Amino acid sequence: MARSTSPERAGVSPWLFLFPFLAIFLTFTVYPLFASVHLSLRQRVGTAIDVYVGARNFAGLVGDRVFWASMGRTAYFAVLSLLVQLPVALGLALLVHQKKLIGRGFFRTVFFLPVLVGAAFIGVSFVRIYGVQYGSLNAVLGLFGIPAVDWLRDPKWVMNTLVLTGVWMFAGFNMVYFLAGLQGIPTELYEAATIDGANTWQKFRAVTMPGIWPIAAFLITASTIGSFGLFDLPWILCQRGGPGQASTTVMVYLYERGFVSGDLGYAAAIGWMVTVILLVVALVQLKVSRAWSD
Amino acid sequence: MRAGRLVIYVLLAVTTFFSLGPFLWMVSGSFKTQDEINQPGGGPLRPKHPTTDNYEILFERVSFGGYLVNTVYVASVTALLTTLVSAMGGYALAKYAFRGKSLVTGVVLGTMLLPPVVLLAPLFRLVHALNLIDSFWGLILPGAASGFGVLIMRQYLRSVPNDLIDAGRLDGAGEWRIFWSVILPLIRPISSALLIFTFLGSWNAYLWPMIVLRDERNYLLTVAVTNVVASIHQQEYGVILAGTLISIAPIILLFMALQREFISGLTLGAVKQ
Repeated sequence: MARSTSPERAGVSPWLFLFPFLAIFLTFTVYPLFASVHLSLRQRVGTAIDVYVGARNFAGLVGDRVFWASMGRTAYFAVLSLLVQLPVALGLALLVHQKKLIGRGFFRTVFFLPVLVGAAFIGVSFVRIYGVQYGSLNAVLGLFGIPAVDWLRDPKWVMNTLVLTGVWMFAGFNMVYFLAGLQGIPTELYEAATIDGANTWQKFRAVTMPGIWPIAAFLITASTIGSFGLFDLPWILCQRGGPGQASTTVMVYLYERGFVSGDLGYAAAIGWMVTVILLVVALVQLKVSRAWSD
Repeated sequence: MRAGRLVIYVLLAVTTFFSLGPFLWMVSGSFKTQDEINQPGGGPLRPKHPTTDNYEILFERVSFGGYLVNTVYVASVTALLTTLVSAMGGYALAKYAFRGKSLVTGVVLGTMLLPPVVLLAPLFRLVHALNLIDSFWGLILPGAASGFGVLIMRQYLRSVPNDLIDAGRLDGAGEWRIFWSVILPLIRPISSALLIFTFLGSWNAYLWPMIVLRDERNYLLTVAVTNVVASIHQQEYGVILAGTLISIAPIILLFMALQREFISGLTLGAVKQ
């Protein structure tokens, strides 16, 4: 690559441009990262207790049933979200991608609107949509003879409610990505397939799927990482991960241990445990997606 | 073919209903009286006795205007600072050759693999030690050095021709002058996308503001609606809906005005792919 500036001439200029970034980055990202390792080896409650405990936090975590249950719930949310959300998003994208569709721009805007609303606002305002007796969702579903569901207070169902809310929030977001992927597929490919006598399904399998696979792979990774950060919805909509602990995700558990009970050391250990597990998952996903696209 | 069209429009109608339904329901609920909204299903979509009481309560008893001002301030400063810092850093990495460049790039890339969870506890201690609890800077600074922002800026700036920079140098312009008056105008598309991306993220953030802000007067909209409005007016559901609507309306209006920038801002994540 041709450079207009040789290293000698560059002098201090690049460092001056980098200075604001580096100063903030070193202080608020790199330093806390190291501090996090240090912190995870301590028990630290308020200003009263601050002792080195070695690997005890991690040993405790391995045997911490509440932690693993919260990991299980979070993983359930992550997997089910992928299974429901990506097909819905792809379906929406295919619907509004059609050239002849009347009101294309309108539908795109409509499906995208929920993306703008923060999870905290959804959490606080959807409570009554999900009410069992007076909720408007049950009222609508009742018109079609679907029996009432206790969306928020049934411990067996509440995670599904979060998945559904997640679909409402993010389907439009994923749709935009899929649309970008669809627009990148050359129309000649479809024309060639038509000449070869392919039907709609065959065209989807042979042209559309390979065309959007890189986008799908990206969304799978991004969505998995996002799922493990799930906090606002269970905390607000389900009132602190309730009923009981039925929607206590790993982030809710971390917050409770670190900021409600106040053991920041244990919270840091939870953070590292989640990070390591996520990195492994991301690596596996990368391998699988490479193998698939070959 | 006819039947196919019909199926498509039925599907679109159903998805539009579920997508827009909650918005219409919020608008209608925010203008309802207490009695009406407490009916099964929240009463009919069209309020029987429309009232602006819920909004009045919000501004008179909860001082909602203050939260709105706080949020606009924090989100604007966060977006502007993050974008400027990213543009400067990205420019250094894209257009200069210097020792240590690959080290900086490598470290930034490495930290992007980490989920934000891992920083929550140590970041709180740091912000506490720096006396930034209850300060807006405690919200603004931790996110201002965005590895993601720097890398997409670097990516975009690589496509900017060097001739323009060289021409500036020949004219005797200083490095900062070149950056400010040649580079910044050229990268407007990516800057506006990053501005919107960070603005929206900051506007909707809940967990970190909840941790950092203690004094109720400093709350942002997310924390105010969930903690203040919802706890004082737990039974007055219309007030909660009015608060939610006022909180999301500015974003939706902004989106209507800048649709293209919003879409590219929110799909920035795929740029690297």
